[in-house]
Amino acid sequence: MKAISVTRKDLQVFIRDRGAVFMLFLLPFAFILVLSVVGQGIEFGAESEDLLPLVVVNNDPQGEAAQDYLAALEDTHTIEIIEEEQGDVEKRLNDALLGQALFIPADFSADLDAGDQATLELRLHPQYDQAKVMVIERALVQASREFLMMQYLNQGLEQMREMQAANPGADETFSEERIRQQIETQQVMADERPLIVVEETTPAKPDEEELNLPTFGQHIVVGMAVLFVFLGAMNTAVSLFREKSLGSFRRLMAAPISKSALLFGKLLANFVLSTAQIVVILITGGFLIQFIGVEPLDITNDPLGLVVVSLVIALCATSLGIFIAALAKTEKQVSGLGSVLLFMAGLLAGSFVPLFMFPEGLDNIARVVPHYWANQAYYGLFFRGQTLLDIWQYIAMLLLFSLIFYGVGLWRFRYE
Amino acid sequence: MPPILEVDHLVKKYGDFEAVKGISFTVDEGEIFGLLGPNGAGKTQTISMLTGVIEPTSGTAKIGGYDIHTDMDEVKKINGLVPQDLALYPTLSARSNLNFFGRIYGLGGKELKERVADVLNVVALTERADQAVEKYSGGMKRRVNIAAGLVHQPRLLFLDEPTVGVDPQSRNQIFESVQQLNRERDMSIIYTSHYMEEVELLCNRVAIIDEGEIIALDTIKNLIAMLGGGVIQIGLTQVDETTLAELTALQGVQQASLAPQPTTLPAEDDQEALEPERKHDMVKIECEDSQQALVSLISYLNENDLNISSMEILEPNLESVFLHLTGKKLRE
Ligand SMILES: Nc1ncnc2c1ncn2[C@@H]1O[C@H](COP(=O)(O)OP(=O)(O)OP(=O)(O)O)[C@@H](O)[C@H]1O
Ligand SMILES: [Mg+2]
Repeated sequence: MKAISVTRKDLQVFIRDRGAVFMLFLLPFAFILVLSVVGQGIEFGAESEDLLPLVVVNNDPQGEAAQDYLAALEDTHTIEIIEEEQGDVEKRLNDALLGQALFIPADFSADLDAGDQATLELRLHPQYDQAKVMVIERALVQASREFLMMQYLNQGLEQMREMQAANPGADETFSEERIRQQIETQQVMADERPLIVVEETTPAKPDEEELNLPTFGQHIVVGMAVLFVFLGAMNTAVSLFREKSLGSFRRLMAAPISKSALLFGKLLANFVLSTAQIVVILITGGFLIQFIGVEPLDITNDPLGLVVVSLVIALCATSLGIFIAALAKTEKQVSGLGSVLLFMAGLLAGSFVPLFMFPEGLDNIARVVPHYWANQAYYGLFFRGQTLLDIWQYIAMLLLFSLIFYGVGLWRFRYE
Repeated sequence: MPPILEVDHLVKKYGDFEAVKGISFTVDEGEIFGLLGPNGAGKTQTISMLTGVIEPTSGTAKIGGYDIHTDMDEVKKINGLVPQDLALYPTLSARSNLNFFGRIYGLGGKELKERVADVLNVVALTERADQAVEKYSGGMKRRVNIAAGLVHQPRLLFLDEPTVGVDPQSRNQIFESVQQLNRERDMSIIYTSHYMEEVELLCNRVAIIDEGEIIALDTIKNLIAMLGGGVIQIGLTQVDETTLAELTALQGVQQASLAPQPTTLPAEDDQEALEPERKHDMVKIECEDSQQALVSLISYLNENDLNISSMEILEPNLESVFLHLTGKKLRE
């Protein structure tokens, strides 16, 4: 009961602190609006000189057709092909360390030679940016056309040579005009029944037809929710420091309230705030952003999962607060160093730039920050169509972080 | 009536440093008891131990018959603490602050409302009660600080330098409140200060505390009586045992002695500047009758051709008592 009084007081103090309200509620709102609108205009690789890297697993290394196809793909001058091993690539796709990979089946060349349809598989990570996907799709289509064109051309030349050998005097018959005509008719046939098809899948639900690829805006909503809820830890830490510097802890130590009730009351206040933050951000991203023309996030996939994940994230952010308060020496350290570190942790965990765009290695380091696990839990719910049961590992990790933060915080925190 | 507070050899150590060196005293029910001492004397440390803010290194105390080690929960209900630093939430109004501290003491509902209204009245802040504390003047903040220690109607109130940084008007208001609480509500009060005027005005008995020890404890009247017929301090060159004996023999003089030198050493680079002054000695002359002593003293010094470098006749007040006991001034 006394703890609740502390909570109530802390919430009163919070709403009078304009800087904190701005930081925790208005800033994420502004970030989402601005970034999601700006993000709509971003088309990765489309205009830049840089080639978009595409990991390719060639299971038909001997096949001539497969090699020709890759050469055609390279000739689009939008894609940089990185050939890698099947097992390695699958693992990285599953671990969300890789955004995309193209698989060429073993019978690719054989099928084409036999005049059958050949299937390429393009596997995409659920967070992978739509704009990049479009670049890849376009390149694949272009490469297919180019490749087939070359095939027909070769066939045409072959025919011409044979006929010429049989009838050396009839130059006129094989004019350029005629060859072009022939290729074009074959092209029309090919478009009606394409010889090469590309099948797109995501690792999380490989069977599913319908993909729920996030837009940049949707990605940013999740990123900002996690980033700013964890930034709220700073508020917890500052509030604990203020009690010390104001001397109110001293007064409270002389009053009949236990230290644990006091700390619990303060944590509860910040837990309430963190939860409120998540609600505000999700309402913004799941609903409000549609009014500025950005596709909203579908947050209805698993309501129970959403509630559990959000509460666990709020809990983790709150315990991070006392962890920071216990380790920092001054209030200045909390607001200065603390906010920088929390922003960097968010950046590292892919809150702004998706993880698959990171250089290799760095994406592994992201696992040391709780933000990573929080992001993954939300990605699972929103982008991979997963439910609470599928994402329990992420929740377990967040709880583990909470426990460590809380334990170290209680152990190291000084009331004086 | 048993004493409200019995302090028994309380010690607070920080490593090798003893902030409080085993002090003992008692405070009677209904008393206003003064703790007078210079900066760093150990006043706040003592109060902090008695109110459960810090743990004593050793020793104990009983408050209202309850031991501070075993019955702190009961002790906390009896105690009211007004800390030396303003311990308020600056962005909240005085009323919100008081409501909060009241709730922490288990008050609620109508009772809380009445108690808060009452203490606001005691410190004369009813009209401004709904304004944020940060908008208050220094004196008003101090008064809210006091009010926050009163909401739960303590029997024993600890006031730790409640008038620091306060204008004369607020100071008088605070004095009145303190006296009113003591008289009308039978509140026992421990009043800490390094302003001897305050202690003289408010307190029945005073403990003079210096460097963690109580060096005198008595009623103000008795403490001042230590100065007897008055004390004269003179600075003289070259004083020896004979001079002191001759001074003691003068009419009106009870005892002449070398005054204790302040224990604080001057900073290194001041050494040189201090050299010439080394020759001066401070002689403390305790008088039977200061007027008579002064007359005979001056003629003696004249006859013996002794140079006076300084001379001070100490007024009969606590400041002089402190100087008399320690050779230091209460405040620099
Ligand atoms: N946490 C601490 N660690 C080490 N020394 C301390 C600590 N707290 C207080 N002290 C020391 O204990 C001594 C007594 O301090 P205290 O605050 O009780 O003095 P005070 O009489 O209240 O002085 P003031 O009039 O300045 O308030 C001081 O020398 C102070 O430096
Ligand atoms: Mg003090």
